[in-house]
Amino acid sequence: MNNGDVLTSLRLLKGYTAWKTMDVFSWRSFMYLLVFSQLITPLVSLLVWQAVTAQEQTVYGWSSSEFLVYYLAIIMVRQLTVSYEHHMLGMNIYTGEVTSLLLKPHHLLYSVIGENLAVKIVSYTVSIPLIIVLWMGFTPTILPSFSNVMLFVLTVVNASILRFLWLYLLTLTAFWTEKTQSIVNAGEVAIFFIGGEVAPLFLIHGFFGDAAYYLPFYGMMGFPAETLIGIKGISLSSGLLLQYAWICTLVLLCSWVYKKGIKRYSALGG
Amino acid sequence: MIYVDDVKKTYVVPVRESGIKGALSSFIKRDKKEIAAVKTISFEISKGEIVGFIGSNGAGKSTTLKMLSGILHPSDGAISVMGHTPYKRAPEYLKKIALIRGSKPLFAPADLTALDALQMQRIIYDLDYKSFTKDLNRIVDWLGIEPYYKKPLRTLSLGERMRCGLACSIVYNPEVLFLDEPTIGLDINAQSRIRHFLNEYNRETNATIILTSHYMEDVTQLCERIMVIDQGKLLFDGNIDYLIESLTPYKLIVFTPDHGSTHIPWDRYGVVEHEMNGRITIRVANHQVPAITGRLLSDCSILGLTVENPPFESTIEQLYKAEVV
Repeated sequence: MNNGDVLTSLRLLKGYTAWKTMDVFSWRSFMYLLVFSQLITPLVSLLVWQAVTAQEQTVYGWSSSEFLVYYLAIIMVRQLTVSYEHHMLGMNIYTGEVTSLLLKPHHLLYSVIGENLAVKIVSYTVSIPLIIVLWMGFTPTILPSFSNVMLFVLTVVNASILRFLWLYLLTLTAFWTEKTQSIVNAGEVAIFFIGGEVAPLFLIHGFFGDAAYYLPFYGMMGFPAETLIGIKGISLSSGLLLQYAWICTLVLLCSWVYKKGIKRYSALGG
Repeated sequence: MIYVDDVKKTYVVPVRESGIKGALSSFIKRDKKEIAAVKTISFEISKGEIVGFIGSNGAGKSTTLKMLSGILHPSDGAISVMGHTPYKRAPEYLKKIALIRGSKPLFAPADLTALDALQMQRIIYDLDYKSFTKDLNRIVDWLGIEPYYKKPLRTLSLGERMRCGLACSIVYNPEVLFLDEPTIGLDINAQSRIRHFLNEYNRETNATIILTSHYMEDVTQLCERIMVIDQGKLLFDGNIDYLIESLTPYKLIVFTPDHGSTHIPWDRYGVVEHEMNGRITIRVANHQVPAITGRLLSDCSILGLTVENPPFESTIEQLYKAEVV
């Protein structure tokens, strides 16, 4: 990729993000619902763990203060990494609208990334004030250090890319089936159960708990959240390495599935 | 410019029998069937031509356009457009073509305006800002979209959306326009404006235009050359006047006799097609038209008389019946 290609990519990404943002700003009620739907499960988990550790009990060294910071971080990660490809790209594939995108002189991904960033930008206008309100409302006694906050930002960016690639990969199944919504829901459930949302991964013992660290879901949710309070189950470098390894793997997988999907679309038509 | 050589397109579609037995057997094993949408077609189109592609529903017109634009991969044969293989969808190729579908003329969010969509085209096609602004003003005037191109797309009528869609498609000056039923669902006035615009665009830029339409007016007013496709086969490819002359070698003489001439048996002059409200239409072989017209005017008292070509639809009907290749 030369300088010209980089500039073209940046121009397209900037253009699509701005264009889609103008559109997404008109989905006001949808945005509130999206933010609410991303809030509800980690909030329930937070309340459950607060109840478990209410009598100054600790669970494997974590008291209610640690669980509070962890789940506030999970809420942040969920909100900041929000992705909605199955609704937008999936619908375009079902309705044949993707034909118009395929006739543009660039890869489909520019439009998809632009749309993803637009949803993030607009949802942040609701979710960031909400996060501030939650931190002020719960007033955690343990406050993360500056270096942990910086690490958290880095790992959330990686988690955003991972979650986007995971949902984009699942959405590409729309080239084969109309049941993409169910497939994406299954993917979200995987993040919920083995990503560290239902419980921090260090509480899951045995082979299954150990293996979960090496799956992409931990990097999407639990790992960034743990960096805020101090990582328990895996070292920081291993966690970062796993995030980057899964980003590379998912990029390759997405590229392969995209090619197969386009081949199928070209055979069947829009 | 455009070369289509022995191109075929087949689809594999799932099939199942009706009833619970069919549902159960398709759940266990899904049967598939191959359907030929296009059965070996070949043609060439030169730069600057306007070609009409006509045929009934499911004839293979849209499939052919999709193969030419690169959306569909042909099952067999070769296609070359301006030296490019369309299905590879090279950016250099896609910058030179536009596919406009009458059913979905504009791909843009409904809450945005046509101007937003046009600005996005500037970014996508990397158009110089100054020349874009100049071209934009010209296109806005040309298509007459000034009153509504800054309004949200959801508030526009189909005709207005079509014109905005055309504006978005030509703002980057494509050399080939593929138009899939560009006037579908439009009123006569809007149809006429679109046709006029396409003629002007072709005249000014020498762009090649291939259009499919169910409206014969589109074809007769825009194209000298037509291709008739039926059941995936090319039935005719040539000059429209030649088709009319060879398949419907007659004219219609439409006249209104005065009250004193109503008793005359008109079948003496030709085959009576219609007789309604005192207006009579007779079908006469081309070479007999001057003689029959003369006889009519001398034998009877005629209030008004015109000689017309038969409707183009009946020519196409004849073609389907004759299956002339």
